[in-house]
Amino acid sequence: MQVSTLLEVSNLNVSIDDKHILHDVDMRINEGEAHVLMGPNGAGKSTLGYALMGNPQYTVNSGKIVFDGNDITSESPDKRAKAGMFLSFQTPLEVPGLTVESFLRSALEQRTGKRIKLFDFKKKLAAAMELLQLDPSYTKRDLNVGFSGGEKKKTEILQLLMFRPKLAILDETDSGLDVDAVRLVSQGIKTYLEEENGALLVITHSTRILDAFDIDKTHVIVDGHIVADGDASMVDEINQNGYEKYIELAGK
Amino acid sequence: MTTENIILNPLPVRTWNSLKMNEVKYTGDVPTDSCTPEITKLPEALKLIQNETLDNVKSVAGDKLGDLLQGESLLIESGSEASPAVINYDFTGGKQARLFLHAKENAVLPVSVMMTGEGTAVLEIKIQADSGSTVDLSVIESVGTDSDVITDIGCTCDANASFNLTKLELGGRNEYVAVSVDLAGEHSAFSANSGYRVKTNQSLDMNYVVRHTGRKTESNIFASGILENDSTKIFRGTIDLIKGCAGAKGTENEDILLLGDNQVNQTIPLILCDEEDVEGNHGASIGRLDDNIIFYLGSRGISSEAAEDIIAHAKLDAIISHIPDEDIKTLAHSLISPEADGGEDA
Repeated sequence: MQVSTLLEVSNLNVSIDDKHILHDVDMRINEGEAHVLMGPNGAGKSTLGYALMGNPQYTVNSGKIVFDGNDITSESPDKRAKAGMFLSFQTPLEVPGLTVESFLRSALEQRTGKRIKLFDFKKKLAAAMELLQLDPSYTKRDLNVGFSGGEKKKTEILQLLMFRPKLAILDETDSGLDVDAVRLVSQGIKTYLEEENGALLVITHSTRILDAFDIDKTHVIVDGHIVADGDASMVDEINQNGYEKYIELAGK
Repeated sequence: MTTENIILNPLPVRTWNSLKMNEVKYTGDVPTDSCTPEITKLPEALKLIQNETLDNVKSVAGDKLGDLLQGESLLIESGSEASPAVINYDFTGGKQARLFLHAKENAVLPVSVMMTGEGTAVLEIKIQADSGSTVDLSVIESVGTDSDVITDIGCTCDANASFNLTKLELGGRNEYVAVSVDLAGEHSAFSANSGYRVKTNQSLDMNYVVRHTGRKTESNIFASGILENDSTKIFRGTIDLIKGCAGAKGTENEDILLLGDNQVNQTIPLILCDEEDVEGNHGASIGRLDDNIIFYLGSRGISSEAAEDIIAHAKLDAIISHIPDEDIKTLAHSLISPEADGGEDA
């Protein structure tokens, strides 16, 4: 079967407030693949997620991001999202005055450039909410306002299920979740993978969320450098031995 | 139609003249023609009387305006619980209108007023809320953007009466809004939710005055809106805690979103206090849309321009949610998002 490249990151250097954070990052993710990005605190994992999504607070000093055959290095976040990219935030933002339902409809209409039929939308939303065991009343609440940590993360996965992107970057989606919430969130991700054949870049400290799907590739980042790439077995190896040897690799 | 040079919206207590907030000078037409109301809903519980007025309800629009409003009037009375009445005033050509509302003892009187058309619009609404009654008034102003609009609302509340006002300012080149409320009776209450979108080169001048004379009276004024490029807005909010109103509580809050540049925003919260056992609060927040929210919505496919629009609509949606009549609510939603009618189904 022919495999096509979905995301290709080449020699990416990124800084924030003149502080150089990512150094010569290379990464290739093919359609339908699940990648894991691991690394100690402050290694630059979230920065890579933000840079891929085009956060204007981060400056790309050099390098290239090609997504689905198009160079998106200079594109705005909304254009990247419309192209099929999605970032699940580690700390989702609260947007007072904008209900979950209104937000999802607006986002879907913006992504497609067309009006969404209410019946189809409600049906899809109800199914996604049932899967995540979110009470229907959440749709009438302001986006993330007063939500618990777990509810915010579930709402991120709800968006993943509604938007069906080609690539989902999940930034610490399982952090702060109890066992039941991890199970539901994992189920949501699994459904997305099965129904959409989507690709994943999972940024994580823990491995709980990784039990839900097969990992194609693991990347380790230390001090803004990708110091190692490998298969799924690297996750277990890091779990057992920690990042010490990778920190040494970065020090070379 | 007469061209007038009059003072509108004076502050009850003057401040420094150099601030230019004491009042506003209006130079323009004050129509003499009366606007014929189109009553689209009138529940049976309501009684309609032509050309009858209510005396003794104060105004804070300015002394001279009252003298100029002598046209035809409409009085709506309610003696029991009623579903919403809906009245449309089309001010095309420049007109004045006078509406009087009287909620009798323990009655509920919900009224929605639409202001439409193209031309100078002057609307006076005076309200008497007898003891134990509730008046729910929503006024949606969507007069053409080349028009001057003056709205003068006054209400007196007897014991245990409530006046709930929802006011939406969407049109008009220069808008002047005066709201005067006398909380005369014990435990009477006033609540205002004012939403506005002041577009490029438009101005909005507001003067809200609540006089707490009754014991344990309560007022809550919330104004929330959007100022676009080169727009001007002044909000005067006065809570007057008069001697004898022990246990009274007044709160006023403003929340302003700036879209674009060169806006002039003035806010003057005034809490006057002549009684010891009272509470007066005010707060105001003003700012642009947070960069982090723009990025968050952007990462969902929403451009920064669309994000600003969505947040602006959300602010007005929150005000619209207070309108009692569902049809008017739907209409108000369509007014704040005219493009909603034009899209293509996916």
